[in-house]
Amino acid sequence: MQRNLDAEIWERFKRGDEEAFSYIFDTYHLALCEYGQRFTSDEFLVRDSIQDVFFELARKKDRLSPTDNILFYLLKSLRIKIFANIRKSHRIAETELDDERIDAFRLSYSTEVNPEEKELRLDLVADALNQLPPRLKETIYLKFYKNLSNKEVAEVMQVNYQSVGNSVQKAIAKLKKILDTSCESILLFLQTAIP
Amino acid sequence: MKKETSDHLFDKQFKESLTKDSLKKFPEEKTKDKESALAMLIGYVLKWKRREIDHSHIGEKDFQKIKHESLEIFRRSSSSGFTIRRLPRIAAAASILIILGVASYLLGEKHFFSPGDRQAQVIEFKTPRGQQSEVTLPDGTFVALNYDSKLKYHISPDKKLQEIELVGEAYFKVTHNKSRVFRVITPDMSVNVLGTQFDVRAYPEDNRTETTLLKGVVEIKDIPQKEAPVMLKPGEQWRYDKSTGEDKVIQANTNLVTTWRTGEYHFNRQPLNEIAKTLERMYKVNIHFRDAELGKEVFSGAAYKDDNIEKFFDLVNLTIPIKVQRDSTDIWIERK
Repeated sequence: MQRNLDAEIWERFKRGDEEAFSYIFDTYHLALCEYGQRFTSDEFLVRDSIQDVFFELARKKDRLSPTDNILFYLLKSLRIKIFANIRKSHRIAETELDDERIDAFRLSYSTEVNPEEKELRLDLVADALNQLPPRLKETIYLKFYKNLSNKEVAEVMQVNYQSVGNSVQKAIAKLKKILDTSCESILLFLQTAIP
Repeated sequence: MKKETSDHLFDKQFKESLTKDSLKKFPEEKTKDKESALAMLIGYVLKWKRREIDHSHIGEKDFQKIKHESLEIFRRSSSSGFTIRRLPRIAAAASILIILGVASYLLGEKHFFSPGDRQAQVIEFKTPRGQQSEVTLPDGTFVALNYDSKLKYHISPDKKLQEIELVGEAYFKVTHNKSRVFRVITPDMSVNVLGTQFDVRAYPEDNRTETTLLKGVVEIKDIPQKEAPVMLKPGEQWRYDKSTGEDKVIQANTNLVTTWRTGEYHFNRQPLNEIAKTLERMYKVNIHFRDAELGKEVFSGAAYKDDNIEKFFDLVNLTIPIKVQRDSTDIWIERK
């Protein structure tokens, strides 16, 4: 349902419908800002990158490819702009800068837990999530918070489709391991706590 | 095929069903389906333990500028000349009704701000029951409009005063502007604002009117039978009881005040008949108490838009035994 509406709005925008363009801006600019700020604390760079994205949309319009997921399309565009702008600001030659050089994805979880969460070892889960490498954090971010499919994530991050699924599986296996040991103790705890 | 932990974890419905109370269901879920139980724990951390990054200094003003300039480019690069195509479906979805000044609005922002335009104009935004909406007003103010609410925006030639009429509840993020007074008018009061974030709750059918300040400064004026205005500090909530005419300022949990934007309501020792009014707007139902005294019982707890209303009544039932009967959109409640 959401997807069909997206395709429709995108078509209207491409045909030059100003309201559709406004709608796209109003709906997604904050989400873009939030995603952009995870790469860098340079807010002006984020702002300029968002501007680049929308200026390009406005210019190219009918030459853009169709999409049934506007958010995905915009996240992909923004990521390209942000990396390009970081490169520019660092005056680093393109060949020198691979993904590893942009070594941040600011996503972290609070390890302050209440007793109930502590009992379930959620502080350890939060800690394990905090330890994940930046690109894996980004994968989880796009999948969990932005509802992107593996294929879409791969396209946004310009990585192999299979590696998205594999890396997520590995990360989750690790989290499950932490929880598994705790599960047993929890059941024991519950059995003793509840007569 | 059996679903793996990750199948659950990244499933949209599963994610939406996660609440802060999900942990309580863990022991039971674990015996039923271990994969989904583990996904629940991981999802809980992802959803509720995330640290927010520092507040952005990129303001609505920056965004409005970008929007304005992109629109200029958009118009210029229009291959088929200047045409206006209406967007009936989107407009209906957002339930935005433009009563007056339609023509000037469609001609774009430039004309919108034209100083030669002496005639005061009004734009009206409306949400029905069960639906929320977010809008950015022409002056850059961001407004999230809660269920069943109405907002009138006056475009006046007077740049020093921006007036907004509100019936219902809205969250405002107003851009700082020293040379202008921003005022929200409701039937029981008006709120004068300096660059700030705040929530105004003023439903005519509710007994209580509230204003909560998250950031900045506001001044509450025109309170019935009260001369002096009330100034709020961030974190404070002003409450006005319409039946007794009493008002007070309390320390509020500002995190909970605006959770309605994510479809979450937290009730703190509120009478059931007041809670029912919120539920009516949230779930598009009519709630009737077979026993008026029951409506005065006080309850604390949370309601989530993603859960059905029955789930909320189950929760109530734990502390106040009730019997609920439902006939399509009408719900009758009585004591068990």
